[in-house]
Amino acid sequence: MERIVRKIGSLSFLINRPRARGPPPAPTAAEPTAAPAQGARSASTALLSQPAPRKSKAPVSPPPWLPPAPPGPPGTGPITELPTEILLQIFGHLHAARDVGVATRVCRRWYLTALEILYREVEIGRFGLDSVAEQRLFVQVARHTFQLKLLRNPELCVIVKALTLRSQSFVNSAYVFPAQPLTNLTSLQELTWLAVDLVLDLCHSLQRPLYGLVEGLRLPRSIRKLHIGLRYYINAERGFGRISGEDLRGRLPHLEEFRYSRIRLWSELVDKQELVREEAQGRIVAVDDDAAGESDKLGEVDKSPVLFQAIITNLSPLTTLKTLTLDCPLNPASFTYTLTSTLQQETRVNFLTINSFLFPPNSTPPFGPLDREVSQSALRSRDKLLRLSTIQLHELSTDVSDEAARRIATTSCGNASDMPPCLPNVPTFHSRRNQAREKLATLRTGRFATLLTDVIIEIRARYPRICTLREFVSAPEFPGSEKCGGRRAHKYVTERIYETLEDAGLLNVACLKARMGDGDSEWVRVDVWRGDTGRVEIASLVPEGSAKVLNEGIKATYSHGSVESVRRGVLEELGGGRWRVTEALEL
Amino acid sequence: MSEIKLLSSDQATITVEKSVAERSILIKNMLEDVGEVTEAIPIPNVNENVLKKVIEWCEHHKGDPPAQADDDSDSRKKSSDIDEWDQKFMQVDQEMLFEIILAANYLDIKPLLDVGCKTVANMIKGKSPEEIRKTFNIQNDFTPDEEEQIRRENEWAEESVPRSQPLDIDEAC
Repeated sequence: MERIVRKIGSLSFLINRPRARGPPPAPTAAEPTAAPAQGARSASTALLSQPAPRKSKAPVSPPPWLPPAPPGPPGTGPITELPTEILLQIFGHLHAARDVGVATRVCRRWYLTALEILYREVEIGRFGLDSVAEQRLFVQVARHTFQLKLLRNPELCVIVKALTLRSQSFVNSAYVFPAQPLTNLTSLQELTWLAVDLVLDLCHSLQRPLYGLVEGLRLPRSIRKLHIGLRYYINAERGFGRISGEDLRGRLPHLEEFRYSRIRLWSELVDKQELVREEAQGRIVAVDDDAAGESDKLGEVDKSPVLFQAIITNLSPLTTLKTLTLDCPLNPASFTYTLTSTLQQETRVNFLTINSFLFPPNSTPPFGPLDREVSQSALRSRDKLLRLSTIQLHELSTDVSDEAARRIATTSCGNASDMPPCLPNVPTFHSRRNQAREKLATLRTGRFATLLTDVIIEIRARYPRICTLREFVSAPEFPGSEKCGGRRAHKYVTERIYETLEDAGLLNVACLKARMGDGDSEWVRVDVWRGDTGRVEIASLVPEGSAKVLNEGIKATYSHGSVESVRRGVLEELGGGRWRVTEALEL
Repeated sequence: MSEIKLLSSDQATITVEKSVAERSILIKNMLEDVGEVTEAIPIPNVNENVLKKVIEWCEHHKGDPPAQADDDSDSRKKSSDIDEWDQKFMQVDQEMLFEIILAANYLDIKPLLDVGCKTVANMIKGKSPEEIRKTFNIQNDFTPDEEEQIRRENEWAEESVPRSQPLDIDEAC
């Protein structure tokens, strides 16, 4: 017995646990009985390494277990004779984790079986723990169960499909911050991370607060849904925009849904009925002011209109995304995109010059996908560009765009001999750079165009948002006052959201939700439907009095990049992101 | 309306409409493989009483739309609600209940299997381990120490709020 106690104590016996199936006395009957209808649970039964389902059509002897009525001899209820995969199905119908947890304590067989269900969806910690006892429980669960038991046990790790980590305060964030990379959770599909964050703040010094999440934790590539809720220490929420696209690309190749929540304090929810209601339903996240601890050090919730653009920009490499829910403010100012640094501004100017050289005005396509033959030399030159530092790339792009501008000027000028034959020296540049600039003039047009194409591809990869021909610097002016929530603002925002997604290359997004106004007001949801013929329909409900199916809303249809029609009317949802205007109120 | 015969484990022959019997994927596949059968099909794992009960269920549900594609997560969310007729149907002693479940599993009648499993799950919900043992007559093979150990291991589950609601703001929109 002592041996068993030791084994259970470490959970390690999961690894070489007995393959508990039905009770041993009746092996011949229990197995064939259980053969078909296990498709839905095949994943879990595989864990138990059950024999593959057999088509047992051959006659088998009747079940030899004589089912005693429950009050029969102790421990012989008919449930004890059920094969394991049926027990698994039964436990699968238990919704509350509590019930599954209780099931593990019934007997050995239930323990082994229920674990399979219990660790599918793991939720560690929650907000609003009040008593000292609960606090102790939280720490124990986070530290012992999560950090020591789960993350270090490969057998358990592969079971986990959904993981939720919540902390209620700065201090507690440290407990849920995984000590081990999450890469062992190879079946993980949904990760929810809601943290008032202290630990991530350390990463702030790297100028990449989320870097720790993506890089340090090495999220498993299997993730399809990611929900991040943050409230940084001292206004660092703004740093959200700094997760680098390159970090995300490749690490989360299957990500379909991204949700970003801002963790609020209860005091910030006062008078915001809707938010309080949502919170009560467990839909958004908020923290007790006291429980948050040091709440005075929590930065203001970032209401900056730039946040939306920053997030979209950073998600742009994740082209698999289908659903975005962003708890960030949306108003006309969100779409007045400003380039963050002089370097970016200059790079954009370079981009436009190069583009106008490669694709002169009125030529088609306006700016299609860039093609470049895949030859050894092309790969070599791409490889070289890849290694350039930001500054080096910037210098190169400046030089080639200057040369492009010179060539454009030369061709458009009637008297070519008046024009300089090559780029003039710039005194502030290093002499070697000046030499290289001069040499550019000697390149034949074909080779020069190839070089430009390579440069443009590289710029595009590094700064996806810069490389658009749409004049985002001055987004179409907002028609009317800055007051948000009105119908015109709504229509404006709906159209701009679509354009932003297009610019970012997020062409699979079918649904985007964000908040109108300064970020605490109602949600706006935009559905995008893409037809085969370059026709795109976007539809959005006017938030007020929304009744889900029939609603007054806004629908715009884009065809080949231009808005075909914009309507306000009664919208009916057709499903799959399609809407129909049942009654046009305004053309 | 063609009929087929089924032969239960205790050698009773039951005649049943073919469309009703085909609620069982096992029988459906078998009939497809074999074609016309005149002899009774042996159902060796199911006795007459249980087989009759299963057929009663199939007859009541013969008009149901075919089971939709298996969506694990979805079917789970919808759970616990069992329609009224099924609830009554499942008001049998445990011996019969588990025999129906085993028969549904063997005959591959997924919706019936689900109803059975939900019924058992509902019997488990909200109970303590000891109550569960009593309900189902299960022997506690843990020592008190072991039980305590396991309780602590899985405390995170018992401490948590109802398993996370689907995070969805549709209704708020």
